Amino acid sequence: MQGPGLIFLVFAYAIIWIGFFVYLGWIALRMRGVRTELETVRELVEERERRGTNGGNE
Amino acid sequence: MRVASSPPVTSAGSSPGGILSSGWFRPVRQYGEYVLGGATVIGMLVTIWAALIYSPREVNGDFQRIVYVHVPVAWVAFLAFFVVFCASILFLWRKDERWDRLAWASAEVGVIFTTLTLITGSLWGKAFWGAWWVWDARLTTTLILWFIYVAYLLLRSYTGRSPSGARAAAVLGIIGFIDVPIVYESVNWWNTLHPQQLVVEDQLPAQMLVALLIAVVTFTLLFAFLLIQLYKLYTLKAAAEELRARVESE
Repeated sequence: MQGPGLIFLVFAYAIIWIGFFVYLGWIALRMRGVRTELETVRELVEERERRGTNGGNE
Repeated sequence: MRVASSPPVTSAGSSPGGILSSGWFRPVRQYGEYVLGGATVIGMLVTIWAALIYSPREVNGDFQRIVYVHVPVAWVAFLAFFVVFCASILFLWRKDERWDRLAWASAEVGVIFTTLTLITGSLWGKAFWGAWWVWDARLTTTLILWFIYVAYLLLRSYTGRSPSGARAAAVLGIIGFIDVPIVYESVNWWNTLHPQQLVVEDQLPAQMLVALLIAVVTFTLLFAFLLIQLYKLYTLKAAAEELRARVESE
């Protein structure tokens, strides 16, 4: 491949593919954040349930 | 995780993923994502080969090969906004939050693809016209389309999952879609610098057409994959928000 506009071709393909991988990575990071949040809430629920059970026994 | 699972399906097929949520379709949902991801990666490699090696060199130079990514990303942007349009109508009609989440996810993917359409178009323009940007009808209407759906995403981020915010976004998603046929027809309605639709007019050499079709199929698969990931993300987010609100209210 050759020609004066080759640099633009390289840029276009690089931006497309690097862009998608960066975007996928960002989605994965957001997914991890939400899973962590869910885990925190689950622990909170378990903690409250435990307290409720202990309170009932006393 | 149990708490992360999506809400129960009220009627199979009446909502996004409804059919796939039950019965013997479950394995399709479970493994389909991996198959889709694998097919997308293979498609990407084939697209690069078809665009850079298989397709013939054009008279103007190799930069013309930008078309093999520019046209497919533009097609996917249109497709994404069509999904927003359909899902927004279904949300207003059925009042099912899952349609709202699908519209939101599709709008996000649509904005990404429209951004890439503008960037790759700009690179092609610089190589061919010698200018990064011209206030041409196709370019201007595409920029307006980008602003409409960026506004959609801003509205969503400000209003969150509130019912009024979801309704307002659905209305914007429906009205905003009006710009898509305007973008498509702009090269026919006005005198523009942007090339005409050669594929539709059957003027494209066979090898170029094959390369372009491979790219269109690949980017459509990529769109489907991204849409599923984002839909799952928004579903998990909604579950987390609901649980936290329930825990804090008790």
